[in-house]
Amino acid sequence: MEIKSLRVLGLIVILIGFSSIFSQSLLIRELIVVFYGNELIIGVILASWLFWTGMGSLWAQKLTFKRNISWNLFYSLYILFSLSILGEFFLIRNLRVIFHFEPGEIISPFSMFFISVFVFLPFALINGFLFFLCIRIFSHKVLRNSVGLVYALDSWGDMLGGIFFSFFFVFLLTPLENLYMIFIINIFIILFFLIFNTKNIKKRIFYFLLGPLLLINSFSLSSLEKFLIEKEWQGFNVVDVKNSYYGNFHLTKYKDSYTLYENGLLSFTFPFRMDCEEAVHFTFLQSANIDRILVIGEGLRGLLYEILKYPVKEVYYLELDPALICFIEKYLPYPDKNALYDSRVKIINLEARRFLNNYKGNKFDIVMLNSPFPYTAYLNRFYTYEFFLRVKRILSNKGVFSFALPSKEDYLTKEMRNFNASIYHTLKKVFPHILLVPGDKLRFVASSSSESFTYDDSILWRRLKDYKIKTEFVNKYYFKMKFLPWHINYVHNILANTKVIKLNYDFNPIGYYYGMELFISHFRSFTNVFLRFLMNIKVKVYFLFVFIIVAAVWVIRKKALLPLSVFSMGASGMGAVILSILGFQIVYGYVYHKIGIISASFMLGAALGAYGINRKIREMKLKGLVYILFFGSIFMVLLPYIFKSFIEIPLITEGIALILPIFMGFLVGFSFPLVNKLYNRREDVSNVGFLYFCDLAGGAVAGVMLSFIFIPLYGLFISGAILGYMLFICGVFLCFIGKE
Amino acid sequence: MQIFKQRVKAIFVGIFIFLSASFCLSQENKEALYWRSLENGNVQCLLCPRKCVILPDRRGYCGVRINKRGKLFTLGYNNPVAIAIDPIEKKPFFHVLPKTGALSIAIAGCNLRCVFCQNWNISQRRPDETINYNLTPQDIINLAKKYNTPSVVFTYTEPTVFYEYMLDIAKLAKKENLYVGMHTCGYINPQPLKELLEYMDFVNVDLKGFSEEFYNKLGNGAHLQPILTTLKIIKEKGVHLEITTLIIPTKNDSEEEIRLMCEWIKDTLGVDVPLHFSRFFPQFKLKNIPPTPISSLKRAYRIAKEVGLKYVYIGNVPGIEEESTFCPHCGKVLIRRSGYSILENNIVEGKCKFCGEKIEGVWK
Repeated sequence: MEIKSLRVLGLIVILIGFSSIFSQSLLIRELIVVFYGNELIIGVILASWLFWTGMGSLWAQKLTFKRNISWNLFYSLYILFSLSILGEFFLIRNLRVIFHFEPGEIISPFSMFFISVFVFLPFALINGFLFFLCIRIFSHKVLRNSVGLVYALDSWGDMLGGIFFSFFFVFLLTPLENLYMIFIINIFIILFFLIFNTKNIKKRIFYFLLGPLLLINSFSLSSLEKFLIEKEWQGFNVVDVKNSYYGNFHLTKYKDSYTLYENGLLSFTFPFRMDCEEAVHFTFLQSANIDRILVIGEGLRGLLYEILKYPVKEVYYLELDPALICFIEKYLPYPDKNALYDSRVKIINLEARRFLNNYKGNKFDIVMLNSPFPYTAYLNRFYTYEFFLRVKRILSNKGVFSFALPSKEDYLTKEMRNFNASIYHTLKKVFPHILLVPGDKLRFVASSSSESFTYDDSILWRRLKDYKIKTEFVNKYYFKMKFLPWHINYVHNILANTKVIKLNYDFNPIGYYYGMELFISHFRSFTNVFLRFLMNIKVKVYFLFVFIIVAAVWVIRKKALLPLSVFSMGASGMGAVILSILGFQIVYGYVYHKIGIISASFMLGAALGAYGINRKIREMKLKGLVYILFFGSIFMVLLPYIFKSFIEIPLITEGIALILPIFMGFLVGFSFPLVNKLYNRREDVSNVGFLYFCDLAGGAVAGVMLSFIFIPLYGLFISGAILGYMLFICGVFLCFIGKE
Repeated sequence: MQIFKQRVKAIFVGIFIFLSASFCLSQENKEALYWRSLENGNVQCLLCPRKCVILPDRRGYCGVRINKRGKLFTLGYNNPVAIAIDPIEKKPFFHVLPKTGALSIAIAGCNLRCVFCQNWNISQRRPDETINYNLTPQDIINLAKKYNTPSVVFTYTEPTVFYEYMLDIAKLAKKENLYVGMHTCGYINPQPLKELLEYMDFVNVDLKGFSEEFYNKLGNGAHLQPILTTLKIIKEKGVHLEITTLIIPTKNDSEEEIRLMCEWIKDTLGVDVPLHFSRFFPQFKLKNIPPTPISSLKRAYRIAKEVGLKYVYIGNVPGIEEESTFCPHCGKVLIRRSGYSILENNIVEGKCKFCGEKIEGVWK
């Protein structure tokens, strides 16, 4: 049953890499839906994936040490790999049922962490095991650098899998259809080899018939998917589902209300007139002019309808995902659907930051921001000093900017204070006048001029009457109810006096740390205490910690610096991707397929690096590794600064920004086989499983540390510096490794 | 002028309270009521149906009562976390002193863990975790007199957990001829409740659902029966009672459950008990359930009326007709409301001005 052809083996390695990343991208999206859109946990999910893949590789190394390759083992694992793709999907779709989570209730950080760590264990473990087996197989067939070859092929597969899923299949097929397709492709490969390598006729017939059977089964997928959705969304009546680039949409109906869920998170309900009236009229009645309006997000849920009651001249409505409007439109009430097609409304499918960067038209009188709250690095970008400055640039002198944050009117917890105060003071730095309307959502109305600002409910009511606007809820009594002086003074005093707070910047996104803290405060857990403890750690402690670890390893066992270098490179590789994605989003805005290119460019770099060393490996010595570490160190430190420098010249630098991670990918791909050679003193694969584990573990640790601690607390510059420092210190100590 | 005076009053209250704000002082020396000693230095709290057995240096489920040296102390005394003058309609009390302000007080804590709690920011905290004011019971009374609020209401969090503070304030308030009220989840044992009711004029009880399953799943292991007992006792004691039910989509809004609840209220408490159906908004941990459709609230309203309850209201939907009070006899509007504003009041000396029907409530 041996596969003799090297090309075929190479294709299988590519296919495994392809299947792995394709499935990973999809399954992570599914898991985020289970967690009701909580993207905070993505770092942990990726970290656990990498960790278990590394463990699989390590386990394979220990299990198969000094044993011949068993092709039965290979085929069995490959079948298990294919089956686990589907198995993971069914597991994830049933998680809420398995763990008895109450429908509609958010999941605690501990539960999310626990599930994230273990849910991908089977798939990742098998994946890692297979990777090592492939290296073993190649090492018997290829004279040199089998490690580099397999690493390169796997990277190619990863890159292609990411691209194909993210750009094509994500919306062409349903999630189950996508995974079934991957399953079928892999199973067919196995069946092909089994058919041609088996002499038993009965077995041949069985394998031959299995193929069509599996294909026929694909016709039952849509009803199976429907059943799974109903089970997962029990208690909700899901009327429609759609997958787009940016995530998936579920639309539910309850009585006469529709609710849109994006990636499992409640986005908005419609019709919800009270909320729309409040958002629009509380803003518009504070503005002297209402000619030109910019609405960022959620306009279609009823906001446009309310806005058009005013004598506005132009309404720009930014909605990032065009698929959303197509999806929702047919369910909108007639007035809201009409509003979308009003001649005054211009719909632009562009992300807000990108729009603001490039906008050179007439200034706006009102800008309404309806973005989700800043709980992630991505969302935080709409609440930073730089973003507020951009908004101010497109606002007229008396223009008004409005948005809302979660809050309370009677008492603000410490986490709410920090969260709101950080944004408040950041906003205050740009707009000297801020009007606050407390409630479960604290509405901020900011302007450079306070000429029209008032809390007086009778004046607001008069203004509304002057416009001759009819409303269902907002009237003079409503104003009286919402503009209670006691609550306004309370919230205003609290925020104004909470001064020991960090401001929220693009490259120092503390806002989403406070958002994380606020989310965790919903639960009584040790995580709150732990987060606060982390916040008090000075950044130099991390530098010291890195130095101590590297020095300790050098003292205890110098050779262990080599796997530590792999760990550092893996961490920096992950760091390069994360910092590049975030940097790109800050400077250029969010464009889905361009983000995909960043990840792909890293994988491409890794593939090139692993392939490139193939030619050089015999000559390469320890010095080469040291140079790689030093170059990597410089790159990591400079990376955030490079993005910062691109801010002023975005148009000509965008292409460069997209491919920056290639450099780091190249170094990572180049270094891995080199370390393997240095560690084993030859190009054998006896320790490659362990080294692969180190590589992935580095990536895992970096993913978690960057997402939860370094980026939110210390910003992008320090994050890059810590990773760069780690590489540098490893390089320095490697210089003193001696002849060992 | 009226509005101006109210605003000035509110600002002064705010300044006064802000100036007197201070961090929570340890209240370990305030011994709790309703507990008993057990072996090995343990104590059992007898205040609420949880009847927590508390080990030394540990707290009860509410996090407010603590066992120190074999005695039970309360951490909720003299340290309110929230204090405000709110319209009485906000509590909600629709049959109590219309158009007056209520001095509203809360200390952090609760003996339930409802995943949909609308005041979770303080109810799910402990008194030593919040930034509090330092106000004795006498300070509270002084505030009420100074700002001419005719009533003191214990609300926002669960008043049961700061029982001793509430009781002392209530006693003082009665001496000063102030009205006293509370908004409670009703999770309190009969004996302490009966003692408290001696000083209470009006009570609003949250009847969150009408099934054990609801309380168990969404109330984190609570039970329905003790709350029903609380309702009966309040009624027996003759204290004015209003009931609030937060209608949560897919959780407690079935026609059957609402009808069952209304029938129980009618049969056990009487048709005169005002019942508020409040609109749910995603809060705390139940963030992924959409707001209650208004049609669900109207349906609940209709069911309650069909069963025969006289005074039924829809809350958290300002301006809706079902916010107003109608005479159960002649059908005319007695109190027209919009939000917290009273637009029209046709109740005179506790009776309908048009037909003379006696209207249940505390009218002066």
